[in-house]
Amino acid sequence: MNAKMNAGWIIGMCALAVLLAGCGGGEPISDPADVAQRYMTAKAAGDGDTIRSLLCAEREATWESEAASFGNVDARIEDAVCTRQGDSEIVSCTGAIVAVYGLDTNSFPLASYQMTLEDGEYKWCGEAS
Amino acid sequence: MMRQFIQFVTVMVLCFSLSAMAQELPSPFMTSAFENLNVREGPGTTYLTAARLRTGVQVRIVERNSIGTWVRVQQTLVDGTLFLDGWVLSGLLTLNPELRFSEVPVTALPDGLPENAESPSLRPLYAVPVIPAVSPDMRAVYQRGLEGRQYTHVITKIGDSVSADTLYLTPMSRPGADLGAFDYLRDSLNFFGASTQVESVAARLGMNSYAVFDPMWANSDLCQQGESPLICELRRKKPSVALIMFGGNDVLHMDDAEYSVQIRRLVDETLAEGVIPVLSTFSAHPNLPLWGQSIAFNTRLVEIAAEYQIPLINLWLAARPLYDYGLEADGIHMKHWGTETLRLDDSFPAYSGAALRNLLALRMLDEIRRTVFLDATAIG
Repeated sequence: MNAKMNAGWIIGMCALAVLLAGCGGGEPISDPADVAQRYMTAKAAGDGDTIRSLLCAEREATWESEAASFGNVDARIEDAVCTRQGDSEIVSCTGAIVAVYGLDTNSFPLASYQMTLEDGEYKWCGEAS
Repeated sequence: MMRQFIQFVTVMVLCFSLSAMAQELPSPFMTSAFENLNVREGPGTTYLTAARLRTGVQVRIVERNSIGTWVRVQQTLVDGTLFLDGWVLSGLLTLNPELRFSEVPVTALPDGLPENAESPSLRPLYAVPVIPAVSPDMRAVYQRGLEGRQYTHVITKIGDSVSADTLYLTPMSRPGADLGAFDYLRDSLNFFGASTQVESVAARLGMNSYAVFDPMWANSDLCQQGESPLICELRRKKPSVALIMFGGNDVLHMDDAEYSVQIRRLVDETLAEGVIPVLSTFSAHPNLPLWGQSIAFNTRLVEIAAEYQIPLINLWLAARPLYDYGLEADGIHMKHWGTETLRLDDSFPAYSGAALRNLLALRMLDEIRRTVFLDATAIG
């Protein structure tokens, strides 16, 4: 009987631990470097929904411009690697958006970007100054 | 008495000979067509066809439109009767090398007759001239630009690949320009020409009216961090005039409402910098799928120019009589003329959309120089 009660108690505690772990403990879910890279990939692809979801509130109104900027070219992201600068909210990316227009190919190097934490998610907020 | 008679006869013979010699010298105003042409009642394709001018028939140029792209010609019979009187494209004539458009009277007839448009949607585009008179409001913009240390003789271009083309404006900076009969543009060519040598960071292949505000499209070697190509170009070059044309590419990816928002933003930011924005309609081919959309875009341009009282070059209207509307096979880019220098002689503006566009740009700049810059100088 006691053994059965102990087993039940252990299972209950385990379930509680799993539930508490699921609550997240206040840590940001997103990685700013990952967000920056996803943002630039979406920009090259003209993916307005993703751009809108990753833009900071201050720049939300610009989502259409951001999504349409490479609209006249066949654009893709190449060799993109984004790294957070220490604990700061700045992410530096290498690689480029490569844009093809007719027979011409142009490269638009990635830069350093300002990220901001909003509601536990990092958002892309323009080039870092 | 006999001696006086001989003197009289000698003088008469001399006068007659001089008169005959004068008649033998070809007048610079005499010309002929090198292909059979429709002769219209006015300087544009919306005017009715009045007659046909056959190849090689000698006619006299008596009038021109404000540019010189259309001329009124007359054919007079031996008995002095006027046989033919109407308008033809000057680029389809064999012009006398001595002809100077500065010596040809300018007509008051409009460039287009909206009531004769092929469809109602085209009427707004036929209602505005190819080259407008410049609003007095532009003097205030120019003065503001001077206070911001703008350079009067510097111009720039803003646009997509159609403008980034090194054969747009840039040939004005190269030696060997041949203006042909368009001699009246010489002073303005000398005034603005050199400034077209410097490349514009706000005119790039694949750029659209969104990208011109996107710092990512700015040249990182020339522009400051976070600066848009537009603001970068206006800051570094400090032009007095910006020739702006988007549309041929934008029409593929946006609707006219979105386009209108972007053009307004372009105009607002250019005016805020004390730079006179010059908009331009773009040529379009009626057989291509986006013809209706192109008309809507061009109509928005006409509305915006009227609202802001800024100059608008009506390239769409001027290119109507050209083969394939002055366009390459892709329906976007202007047909080239095969030389790096500015050529307005030898019918180039009638066969090459790119040459016509340069001619119109220079004509517009000439209008601005004479009515805004010179007046402002006189006032100052």
